[in-house]
Amino acid sequence: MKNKEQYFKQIYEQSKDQIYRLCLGFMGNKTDADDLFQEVLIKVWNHLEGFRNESSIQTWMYRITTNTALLTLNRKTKLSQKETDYPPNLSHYEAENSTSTHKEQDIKNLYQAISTLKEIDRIIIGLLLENCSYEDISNITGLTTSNVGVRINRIKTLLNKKLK
Amino acid sequence: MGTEIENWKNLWKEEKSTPLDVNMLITHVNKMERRGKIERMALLITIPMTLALLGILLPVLSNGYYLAAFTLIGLGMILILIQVYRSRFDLIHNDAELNNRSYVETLISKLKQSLLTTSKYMWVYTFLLILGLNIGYVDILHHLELSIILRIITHVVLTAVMFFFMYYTIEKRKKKNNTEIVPLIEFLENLK
Repeated sequence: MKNKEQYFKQIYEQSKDQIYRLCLGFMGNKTDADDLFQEVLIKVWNHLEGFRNESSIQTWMYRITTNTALLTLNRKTKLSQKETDYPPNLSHYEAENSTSTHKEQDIKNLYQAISTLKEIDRIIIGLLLENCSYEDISNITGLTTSNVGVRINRIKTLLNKKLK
Repeated sequence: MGTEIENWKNLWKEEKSTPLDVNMLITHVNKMERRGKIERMALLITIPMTLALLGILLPVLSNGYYLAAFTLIGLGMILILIQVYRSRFDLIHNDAELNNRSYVETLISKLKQSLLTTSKYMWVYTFLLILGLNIGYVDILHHLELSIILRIITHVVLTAVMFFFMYYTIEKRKKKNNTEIVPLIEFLENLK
């Protein structure tokens, strides 16, 4: 158990920011991203003993993040149905616009634009921005490499439009 | 386009995770792990215990009616227990090891099993439960020396009450499935 805890702490320190960014890109706001982040960490803990080194620990954690993010969709959909007065991916960034610097604003705009994409596209672009190769993305999402390529081109065009 | 990606990467990586008390999280997940094990054990023990207790308290072996009632209700309980385990998400050991397509397919099949539990197996359980109870009551009412009309009325009332109770439970669960599980299956089907 002690070894598990040490290993968990080690991989947490190595991957926390990457995983968190994927969560934030998928959820579009920090409150939901924090919840998803915790859920991912709990899953990582629960499955850590089953990790068989067939892929890198990072790829393995990205897979967990992807699967967990897709599963939270149901909960998110329900919430957005209840809160019909607000857009489903309302970002916390909007309230902070007046005090943020130009760079901060660009970061906010990027995350906000990503959070408006289709769910699977949010995951793909997140993985791409974390320097994953097309093969890795294909392996993590289950899509074919060529499909990943097509989707990435489409996402780039869409993001360019949204960010202009 | 390549420069844009690089710019986006730089912006994307500016975000950092919020500080998290990882020790507290570990304590929390350890507790969850223990609770999960206890719950699973409890489920596996309570149903056989209930059946064993009924078997001891009622003269099951010496009375054909009780034996039939016990067998039918027990069958229904075991059927539901098996079905609950078949649709349990935790059964996907090493789910993170699977590629996403396999994961999605496994998940869809488990969600469908969950729907099937409500739409089919709960009704099978209802049928077995009502039949079992009525068979058991045949003997109980016989000992009370009631008239045949009163006995029939008791059976009808018992059947109606149990039927409407189970109908209400199943319908409530179906509504919950329609808002929670069905949209998720549709979404996952689109990912395949």
